[in-house]
Parts: sequence; C-alpha cells; structure tokens
Amino acid sequence: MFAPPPAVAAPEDELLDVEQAFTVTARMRDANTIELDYRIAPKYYLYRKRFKFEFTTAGWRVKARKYPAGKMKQDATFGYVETYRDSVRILLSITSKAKVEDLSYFELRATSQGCADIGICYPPQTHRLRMKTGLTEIVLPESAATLPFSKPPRTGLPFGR
Amino acid sequence: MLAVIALWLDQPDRRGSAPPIPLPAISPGAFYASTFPDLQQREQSLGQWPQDWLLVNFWATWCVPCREEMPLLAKMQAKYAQRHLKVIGISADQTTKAANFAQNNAINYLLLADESRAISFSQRLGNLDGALPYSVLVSPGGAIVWTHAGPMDGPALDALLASQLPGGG
Repeated sequence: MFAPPPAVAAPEDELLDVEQAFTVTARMRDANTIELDYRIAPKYYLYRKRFKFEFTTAGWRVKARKYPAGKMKQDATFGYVETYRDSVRILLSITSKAKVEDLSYFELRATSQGCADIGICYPPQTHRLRMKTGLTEIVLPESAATLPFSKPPRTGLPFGR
Repeated sequence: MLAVIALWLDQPDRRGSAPPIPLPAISPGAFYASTFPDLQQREQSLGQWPQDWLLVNFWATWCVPCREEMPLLAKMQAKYAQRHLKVIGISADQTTKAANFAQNNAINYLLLADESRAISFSQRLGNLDGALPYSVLVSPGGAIVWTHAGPMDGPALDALLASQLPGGG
C-alpha cells in the first residue's frame, strides 16, 4: 500500500493549487470494497455531497458509499451542509459482472470539490485512479488530478504571483 | 493591438502583502469577441456594451463565497447603473442550474453560464488558480483595469467604482 501524499500547508494567505490542497489515494480493502483516503490541507475543506465516484471500466458499479460523520456548516442557500477537514476515509462497496481474475486493472474516477477558508472555492476535481483487481493492495493514482480545464504555466504569463 | 494598461489600482487582494501584479494582457478585441449563453440559452457577446464599464464576476452555485457576494454585486449594479456600470455574472455551472438558482434569488444583473468554458475564460483574464469567485473590471474600450480573486470587500469595491466611473462629480 502506498502512503497518501500529504496535503501541503500553505503560507498565510497564499492559495494552494487544488492538486496540493486535496490529495487522494485508494486501495482495495477486500474484493468488494475500495478504500479512498483524502488528505485535506489545513484551512481547506471538502463537501460531502460533492463527491462522485464512477467506473470507466465496463461492468463495474459502485453499490454503496460509506462516509464518516463530517462537520455541519450553515449555508444560506442549501441549509446545513456536511464538510470534511484534515482527512476523510470513504468506503465504496462495489460489484462487477466481470470475473475479477479476467481483469488486471480497472479505473475509478473520483470527483471531489472543496474550498479554502479564505473564501475561495475550486471547481470539481477528478482523480483517475487505476486499480488492480483482486485482493492486492496495489493502487496507483496513475494520473494526477484531471482538471476540467488546462492550467497555464505561471512563467511568461501576464500575471505573476 | 494589445492594450497598454498603465492603470494600477489598489487591489484588495487576498494575497495580502504580495507585490502588485500586472494586469492580464488579453486584447480588447479578444475580450469583446467572447460570447456566452444567457440563462435562456441565447448567446450574448461581451462586445455589445463597448461604451460601458463591465464588472465581470465569475461564480458558481457550488461556491458559497460566490453566492454570498451576489447581493453586493446587485447593490453595485443598482447604485452605478446610471454611471454606465454593467455587472455580468458568468457561471461555471450548467445553464439549468444557474437558472434555477436565479429564479430563487433577486439578481438584477445579467447572468451567463457555461460549465465548460467559464473557468478557462477566467484564466485568460488572470485567474491562475482557476478558483472562484474571481472578478475583473473592464473599462469602455475593453481594457481590464482591475482584477480580484476571492470575495470582494464592499466598501473597497464601492470606492473603486466611485473613483473610476464617470459622473461622480
């Protein structure tokens, strides 16, 4: 099993890249359960209702999700919403029509969305997790965060930081 | 031709003591050529108000700080409409989501929405982090004269508009 990359603490008032603010790793807990570990940087949080999980490998399906209790936050529009800070472990109960031994890997798209306490919110962030079937614990966040946009390089831009 | 922007305004930037940052170099032509659908799915060109000051605010329904600052934007729209201010909210939501939100909230300024292009367009206007809310002030002629990442401070925004818009006496 690979240790989750740590979410980075930001210097005062400096906004982290979304890939640094929220990191995730996953492993097969058993043949039918995926364990996702999100690390959340200090002063950042994720919304429970904004998580989304889907397989891109045919035949696989998320049957149930198990979340720990989060912290309730008052929202003027949506009422109380549940948020997570520091870390959150989510368990996905999965089913498959395929025989496990017939597949070497399958892919899970894990989407999350969060904000920083300074009043900034990031667009939904999708991680593509390529996982090995069976009971092995090899789990690779093979691709980095797959953002819904292409972030320009910082150098050479009209804007500096 | 790229606009040469010499105007450096005091930016109430969330990054505190960071040195002033140059304004985005998107040309007025490129800015005005951009179009987004409104909540009735009609394409609206940002170039249809070349004589007005545009306060363009990028937001989303999933962004609580964005929603919290919308009353401030509505207030500024009402206060400065006669001084040629047009507030435009560009949502990073699906149009239907933004429309549902608008139905339940008193918003007196134009709302546009494009889930796939709003963030990338904001990045062209200097929003390096791609985070929301993000706002820019565009002068008549299409030059970006001010940008701000994060929630805006009401008195600071009011003072900025009072100092920049014509007809202030």
